[in-house]
Amino acid sequence: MTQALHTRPDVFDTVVVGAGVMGATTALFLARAGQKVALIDREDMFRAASGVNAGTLTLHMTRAQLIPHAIRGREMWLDSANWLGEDVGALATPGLSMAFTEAEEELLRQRARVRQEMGAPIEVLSAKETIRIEPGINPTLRAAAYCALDGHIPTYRVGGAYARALRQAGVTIIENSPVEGISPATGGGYEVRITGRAHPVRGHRIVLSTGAWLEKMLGWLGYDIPIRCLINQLVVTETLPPVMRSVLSIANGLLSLKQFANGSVLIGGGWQGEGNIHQGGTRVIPENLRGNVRLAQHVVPRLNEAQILRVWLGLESETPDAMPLIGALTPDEDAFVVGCIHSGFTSGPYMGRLLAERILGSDPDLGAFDPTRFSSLPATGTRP
Amino acid sequence: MSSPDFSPVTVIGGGIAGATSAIALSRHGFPVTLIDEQPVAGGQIFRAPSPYARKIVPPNHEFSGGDTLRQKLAASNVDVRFSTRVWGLSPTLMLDLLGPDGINQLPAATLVVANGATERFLPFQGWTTPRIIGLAGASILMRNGGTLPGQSVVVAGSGPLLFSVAHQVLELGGRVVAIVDAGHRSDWLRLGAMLSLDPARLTQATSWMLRLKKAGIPIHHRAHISEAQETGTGLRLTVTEMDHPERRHVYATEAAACGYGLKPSTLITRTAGVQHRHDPVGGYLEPVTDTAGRTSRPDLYVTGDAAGIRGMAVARLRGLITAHAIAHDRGVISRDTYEALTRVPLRQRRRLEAVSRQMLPLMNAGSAIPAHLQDETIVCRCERVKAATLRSAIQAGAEDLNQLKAWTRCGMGPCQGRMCEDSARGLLAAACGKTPEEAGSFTARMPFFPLPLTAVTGDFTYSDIPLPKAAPL
Amino acid sequence: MGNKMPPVTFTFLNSTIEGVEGEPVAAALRRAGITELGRSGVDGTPRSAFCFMGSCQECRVRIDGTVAYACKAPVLPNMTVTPYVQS
Repeated sequence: MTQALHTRPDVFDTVVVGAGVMGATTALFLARAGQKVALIDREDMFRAASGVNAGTLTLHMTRAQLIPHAIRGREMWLDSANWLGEDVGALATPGLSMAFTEAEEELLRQRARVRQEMGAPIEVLSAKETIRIEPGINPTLRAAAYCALDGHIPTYRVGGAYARALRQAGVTIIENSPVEGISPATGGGYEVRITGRAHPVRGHRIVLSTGAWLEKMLGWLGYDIPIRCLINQLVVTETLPPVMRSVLSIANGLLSLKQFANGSVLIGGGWQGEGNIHQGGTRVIPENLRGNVRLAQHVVPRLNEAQILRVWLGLESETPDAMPLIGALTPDEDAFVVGCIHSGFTSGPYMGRLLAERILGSDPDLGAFDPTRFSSLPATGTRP
Repeated sequence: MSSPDFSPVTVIGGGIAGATSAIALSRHGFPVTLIDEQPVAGGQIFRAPSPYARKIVPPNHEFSGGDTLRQKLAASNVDVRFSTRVWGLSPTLMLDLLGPDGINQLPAATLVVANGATERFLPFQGWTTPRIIGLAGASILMRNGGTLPGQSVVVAGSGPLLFSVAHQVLELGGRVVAIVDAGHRSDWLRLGAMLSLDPARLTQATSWMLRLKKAGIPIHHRAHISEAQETGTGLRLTVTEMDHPERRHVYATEAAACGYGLKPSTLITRTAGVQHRHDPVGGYLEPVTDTAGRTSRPDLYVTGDAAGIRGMAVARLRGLITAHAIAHDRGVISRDTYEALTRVPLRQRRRLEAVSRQMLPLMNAGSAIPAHLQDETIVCRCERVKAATLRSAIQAGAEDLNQLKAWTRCGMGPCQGRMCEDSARGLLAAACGKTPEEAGSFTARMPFFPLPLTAVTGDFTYSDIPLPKAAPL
Repeated sequence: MGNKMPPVTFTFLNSTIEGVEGEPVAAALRRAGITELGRSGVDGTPRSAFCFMGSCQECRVRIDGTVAYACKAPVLPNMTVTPYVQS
């Protein structure tokens, strides 16, 4: 649904580039505050990461420093009916992170301790206690970290809910429109040029929320921040009788396992596919498919009854310090970034809202996410 | 002529085109591996009859043709891997297979895709009842299984298969209640006028039509089944005329067979990344090929109906021509030899294809049906997604087939969208004023069919799993 | 004509079905009047062999516990066929 941009030289208050959870949430709250907002995506919205990831709401896999944000993000997902206008199907469940070897148990205890300190309600359980909670788990486990505040979402539903909310809030959604350049406009603001369109989209302000594509776009604004693109493999099975009710993971974070209400089991955990987002597509690496599903079957042996229905890949982006980029990119405060949040789906809506609040004039603490931490270049006062 | 390259060739599909091609390639001196999902060669048309069907079904061309093909294949040097399905492939043409011994990989230096056609289905109210089966499915059940779908059958959909299936019902002693065809009568007359180019088809068609006429079977053109109701002992079918929706006909029947023509199977070619195009006459996506089946990838050829629906007789010629073309491209035979070998097959093919092309609009005659589906009609059989759900997602902005899939689950089930893709695309295109090509196709995902998880995991211990290093804390 | 071939028997749910060794399970079941091979996991309505080509996935059953396509899997004496999706 792309409006007729060929003719209208509109100037938006804010142009958000990148229609995933973070950009769409920022766009939504800006529009509700009265701004005229455009939201642009290179393909259909929510297709690269936000609508195709494992949908785990987890504190076990969240970076310790981000636990307070993840708790708030999780609350937003569970409360989506109220602020988004539609229940996206988020389900609160416990989360269990398991250890099968001595080394894993040590890692588990150490990580649980750090996360506890950051406010995560995590406790370490014995094998016996774990199996009482989740009888389908492989009884050879040694211990598990239990977190009451986990859960999951069927992510494919999220994009539709956002689309309806954004439209209702008056956001102009511009899909299938790859941005090929961003430059300052004469008289202030920016021009966002879209491949194949005669007229650029103009905004007084821009927000970049393009995940794995941020490196290139930040470069246009004078930033040189290497962004690593993770190509995460996801596997879904056909429906099974109930085999688990918690979100399951392992100590080193490389498994996420959950069963949705319809009975299908989703296997994730960040096993890598291959490919290049700038040149052609992404592909499954068969060896990694095998490793990933072996791990899943080891954790829940009854998965041996499952049929693999589909394997696909979703993107995740990571900065050199694996901490998010959220904040202003220019001293004039007319260009912003939000993204690169590790396990960012859980905290995504909260982070997007924080940026909207920041743009609207409040002062949330975003110090740890300041994009200028990697490079002092544009902070000196010159506009890019 | 450069020095001949006799590196191995892999053929996917042991139907008429694939088996013919494999045998010819082997005769040219290539080591050939043929992969087929059935326990013996023959594909759909030349599918080997079951022991029961061999006794029950009167001898016919498909049985004898299939037997000859199987004998030739057995006498050849082709390495055949039966009961083996391709469930994925990489850009380097490494094939992922599931066979009797589990999964394994096979590198293909040169690949010939001859995996044929799949049937196009269009929904109607009540089409998920077990008394309704596919039209090609009915043919396989009767011809190769010797079994009627029911004692009485309504035959519906489009294309020449309608009359073949009706004839098969009579042959097995069943009753054809009615034939419901989406095509124009005038298109059939035009086809009939061309059949003189294809005497074999002419003879067959004449005998079918005489028999159907003698049985007094009602035939509705420009009509489709709009509703099926289960009555406990059978079906109550409503047939609606497409150009006069107020004109309806009601039939009681035990079973119905319904299908809207064939389309090339493109999962493998799309995954391999070769160029495809939408054929507006056939109403389907097909790989872009030249006469010999060459594609945009020099290491991949497509032959038979997988390259566009042309039927059985053409499939044999295509298989042959593709094999000769590979021999030529690899420097095994000269240009002159290639031309000498293909002169007659190419001439026969041109003549037969003129008839085949005339059949495409007849097969695609149901193309307008998806635009008018009733809201309550189930489009996606696997996930039971109704037309109304699709329409509301389209209204919310899902204007691409994959976005529509994500927002509604249409096409997310075990058939991987094979049953609903055409109707979902047609509905989407009509709702947003797009062409079918603009509406898109479901992205091909591995595995191509549900794969037992244990086939992938095999026997293992925890220490066999190569755990990557821990995520940052 | 069928009586010239020695029939074999197998079970589907709790019924004994007669068929000819080597023919597709779905064909033998259909002659025995059985079209419903299981139930949809989504809405519980009946499902059956539909496409007979291995595409639709609706005819899948368990034969002696292993998932198989009823449209292709051959009848063997004394095998046990159960629905794949049980309601």
